[in-house]
Amino acid sequence: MAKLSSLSPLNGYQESIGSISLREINDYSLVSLAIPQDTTKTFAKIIKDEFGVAMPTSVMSKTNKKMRLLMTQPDQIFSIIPQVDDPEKDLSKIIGNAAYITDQTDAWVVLEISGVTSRTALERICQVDLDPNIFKLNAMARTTMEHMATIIIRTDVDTFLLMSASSSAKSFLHAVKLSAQHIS
Amino acid sequence: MSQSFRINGGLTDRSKPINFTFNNKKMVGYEGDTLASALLANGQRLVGRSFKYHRPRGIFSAGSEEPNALVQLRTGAYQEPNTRATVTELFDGLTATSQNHRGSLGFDFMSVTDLLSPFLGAGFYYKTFMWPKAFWEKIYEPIIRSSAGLGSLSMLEDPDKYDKGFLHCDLLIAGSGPSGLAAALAAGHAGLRIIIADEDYLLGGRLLEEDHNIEGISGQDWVLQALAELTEMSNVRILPRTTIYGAYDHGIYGALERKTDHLAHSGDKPRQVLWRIYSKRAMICGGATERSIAFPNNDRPGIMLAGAVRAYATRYGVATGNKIAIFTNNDTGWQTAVELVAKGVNVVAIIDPRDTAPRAHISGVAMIMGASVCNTSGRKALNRITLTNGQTLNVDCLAVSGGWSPNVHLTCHQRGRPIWNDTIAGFVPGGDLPVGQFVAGAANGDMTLGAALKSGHKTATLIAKDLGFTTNVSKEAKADDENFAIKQFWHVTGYKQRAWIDLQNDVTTKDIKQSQAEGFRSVEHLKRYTTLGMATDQGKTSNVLGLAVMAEATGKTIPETGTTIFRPPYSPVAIGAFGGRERGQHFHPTRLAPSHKWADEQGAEFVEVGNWMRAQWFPKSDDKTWRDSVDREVKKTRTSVGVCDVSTLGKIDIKGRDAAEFLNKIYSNPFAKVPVGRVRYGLMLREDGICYDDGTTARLAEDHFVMTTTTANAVLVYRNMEFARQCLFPNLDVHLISTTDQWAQFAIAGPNSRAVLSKIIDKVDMSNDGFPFMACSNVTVCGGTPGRLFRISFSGELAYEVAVPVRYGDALIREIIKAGEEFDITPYGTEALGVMRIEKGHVTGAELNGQVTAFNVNMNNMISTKKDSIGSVLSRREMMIADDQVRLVGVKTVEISDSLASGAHFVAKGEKPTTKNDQGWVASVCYSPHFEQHIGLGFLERGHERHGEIIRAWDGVRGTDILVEIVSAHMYDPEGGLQRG
Repeated sequence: MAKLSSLSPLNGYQESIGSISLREINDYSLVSLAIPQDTTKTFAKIIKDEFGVAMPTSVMSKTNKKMRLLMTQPDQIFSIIPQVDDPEKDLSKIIGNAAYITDQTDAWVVLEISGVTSRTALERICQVDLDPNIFKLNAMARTTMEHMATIIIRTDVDTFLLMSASSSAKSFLHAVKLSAQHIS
Repeated sequence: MSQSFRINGGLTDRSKPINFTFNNKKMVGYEGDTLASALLANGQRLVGRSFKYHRPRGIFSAGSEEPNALVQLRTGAYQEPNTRATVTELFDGLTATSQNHRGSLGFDFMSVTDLLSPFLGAGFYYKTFMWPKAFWEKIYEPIIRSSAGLGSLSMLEDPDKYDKGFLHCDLLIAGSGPSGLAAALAAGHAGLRIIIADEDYLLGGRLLEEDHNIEGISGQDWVLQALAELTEMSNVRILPRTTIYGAYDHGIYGALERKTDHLAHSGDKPRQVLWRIYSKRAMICGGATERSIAFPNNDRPGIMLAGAVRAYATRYGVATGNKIAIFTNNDTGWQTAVELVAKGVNVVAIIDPRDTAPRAHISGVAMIMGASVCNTSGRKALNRITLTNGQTLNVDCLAVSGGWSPNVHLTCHQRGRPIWNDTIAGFVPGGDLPVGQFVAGAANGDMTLGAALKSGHKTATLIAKDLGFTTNVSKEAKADDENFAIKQFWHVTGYKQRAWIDLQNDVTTKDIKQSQAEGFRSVEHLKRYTTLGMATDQGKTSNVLGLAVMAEATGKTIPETGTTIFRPPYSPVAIGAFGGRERGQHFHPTRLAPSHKWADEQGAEFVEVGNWMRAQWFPKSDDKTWRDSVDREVKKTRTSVGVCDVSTLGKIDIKGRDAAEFLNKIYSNPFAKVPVGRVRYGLMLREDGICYDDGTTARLAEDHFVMTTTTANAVLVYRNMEFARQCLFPNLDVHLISTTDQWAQFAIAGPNSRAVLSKIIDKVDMSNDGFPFMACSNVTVCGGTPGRLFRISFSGELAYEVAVPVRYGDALIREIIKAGEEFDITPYGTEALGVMRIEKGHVTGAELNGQVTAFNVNMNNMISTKKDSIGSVLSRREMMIADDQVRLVGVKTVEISDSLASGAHFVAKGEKPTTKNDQGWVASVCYSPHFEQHIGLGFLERGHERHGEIIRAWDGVRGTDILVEIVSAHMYDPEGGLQRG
């Protein structure tokens, strides 16, 4: 029997609304790395040595071209990497027991919003202060948008990644899309 | 009507006429008019009828404080009652109708209530309509209901869209008059991020309505200059048509921006946006509102606030009468006279109760000092006033100024109290302002222009310094201070006729005195008893007047009398704006199960389970009712095989070297020694020993468990476990992460479930020995897709649950159906799921209702005495394990044809259904296709000892009282042979 076909939460959605571009990002793997007790320093060194990325903080993600790290808890980070079949297996080959690894790829939907008016649209659903002088490049925040838990990351001048639970992906898209429509 | 009351000047654009209707009468105004200014320009005096007495009323003010000119705007579903004509921007095609009259506005049948006014004073409804008692429901109440209220709803759904949003700033400035603009310039030049908001569509406040000079240019030109400067600054955001309606905690303000109310159509965009503004600092520059003087018959159309008369002339180019008199106790009334005369408006007299020399010399105007107005004539339009010195004057407009009340509301929204200032005869902000809030200009008691400009600039400069910004960048604008002297003169006494205090609620000086005489001494009681200060204007023009009269009546001072509590919103906010986008299907987010698309294709009926949409049953063409569908799904599952999407149940991955020990503390039963590859059912207790969730937890590796929770409790369990992890057992190496949305999980149940799954699962020995009951494993499915397999059974049948990452969920359900075709596999929904678990005696939230213990559900043996766990100690309290406690039982109707309802109470035969005789309750019920009758689960005192007993199930709500047999809760396959086979 052939392997099962896969469907992303928003089936590869992509749209332009006024000057705003909105698309689903689905070519990634997302993995939770939980740091065993009393090993934070060791873990940070391994991440730096193996991936060349420093430990993130609760307000700033850290990235190189291949990987972005977010801190979700003091002893837990999320790692966003290019898509692989079995991210738990692949990562454990590299970092071994340095972390408890859990695949989270399917638990989240990721939208990218970009454009000169992206902040104006996000004002309608995001409580975080996104002023470019306050929410700098690579900044991240955990917040809610229209009652859905969301992680927001600034990835470029006017570009943001929005991550939310995959089961409410359609509601989340509706919320973001409506915001873009309302200001366009 | 032509615009016979237009004069030269004003800010309206005469090159852009606008057509509108009032009570179906066509009229013309100009761009820049409000509905009120356009009505006045057209000579429309009568605009409504008063609330209680249906007295003819005209436009009273020029702003959001308007008590009289409440109209119904628009038609059909867009119809909106109680809209103030004074703040309604005129647009082409606007339709407005007057409110609160039966018959026409000019001939209101309900005006007979004015004749009954002696019986309709304050609190009349506490003293009347009492007898006969039977008349209340059928006669009095319907009449009162149909007469009460102002305006009417369309009874259609509001078709407009609304939105919400969040803004951030260093400094929020509420109000764009002289102090607000001065503050914005100072702070803007210093580099602060500013939001300046004004409820008006033109910024400038009173500089648009009064003739002033600021550094050699007119006030209006200064405003234009200031706005041009501010518009150029990228750190300044200007929000016209935006009311700052509330001051909330931590420097957060509520604001309502009216985006399209001034347009004929919203064009599919939100009509209004409700903003939550997070400010480091805020300046309240909301100015002051003029108040009236109470004198006999002071409510006629044509009697207006003097500042409003001035505003209509200066801003809108409208004379409010052909012969205007001014009655004032302060110098601003004189300034009004000077400006009106300068514009060619006919002012016949100024009446001033102060015994001084005239405050100005105005040629052609009679200046009558030391006198007051003591009566007026002209029911539908003022035509004459009578003075206390005996004079009568023929006038068609009386401009009244009783002083100015600083708009302190936003300073008091957190229970702050304003303080009385005798010099200006008004309340000013008290000392306890909301955090980060400052006040400037007239709102702070700086009533004159020079003082307002100065205070705005100075306060903003201080704020900028405090926030670490450079401050000496902008120059302070200067202007002269006009005269502002006032005599505290509240009402004209000694006359029989009624003198109005609150025009909107028809409250007179007599009502206030009566209220005091009847024992309502507190100003809060005065408000409730008389309704002074209620409804859309919230007493903006009447509150101070009312409590001044009350102070006199009680012999107290005004400060001693105090004010009522100020609450948001400052002015009315549509409920739709508070609702925002949350309406219809978007009221809350929806969560979809991985097989939702497939289930929809099958025609499933869905049900809301919290935010989830779950398939409830899958109707087929032969099914006549939902029961047919559910019965069929149950029978087919129990005789062959069924599949159900159980992805919504909570899944928590628990990892760490101390994961087992952690679970040992979370669950009441032992978990430390669960072997890898096995699943165990677990019970969770609250700290007080009450059961709060149950589920199965699988051990996939030494340091890796996967917990399932009930759908409803997924978040609660996760939150409690995180609390336990971080706060109760911080020394344990254990980590949690929700994987509810990571995995699509399907239950496959029935005698042929093994056969179906053998086609799905790769390379696993699916025999009973190879994969026994309560086994689990990481597997691959369908030729290599990673997955997990659990042999667990909620239905009581031979059953499994198979999980794959959600992206494969849709594909997997289709493969399972294909694999099950030869066995006539049936999808089943939550109803069939519920029937089977009741038949089996498995508890859910209906039983674990937050009141029952492990003892009650016959699981006391699941509380280990060999280890400590959350809730175990308190679960052993004497009362909780007493012999007479309720115990879980099965219930079967004695008569096969009877049906059971959950919530029925167990009562012995022959006993009355009382609390004393209540022996327990029915928790869950269903029709059982297996037993071919209605069954249920319930809780009965000493239930475990009473199997076989016949008792009553009494339902007082539905009116049923039937006999039931008490049986073991495990009605179906009590030995469990099927699920272990």
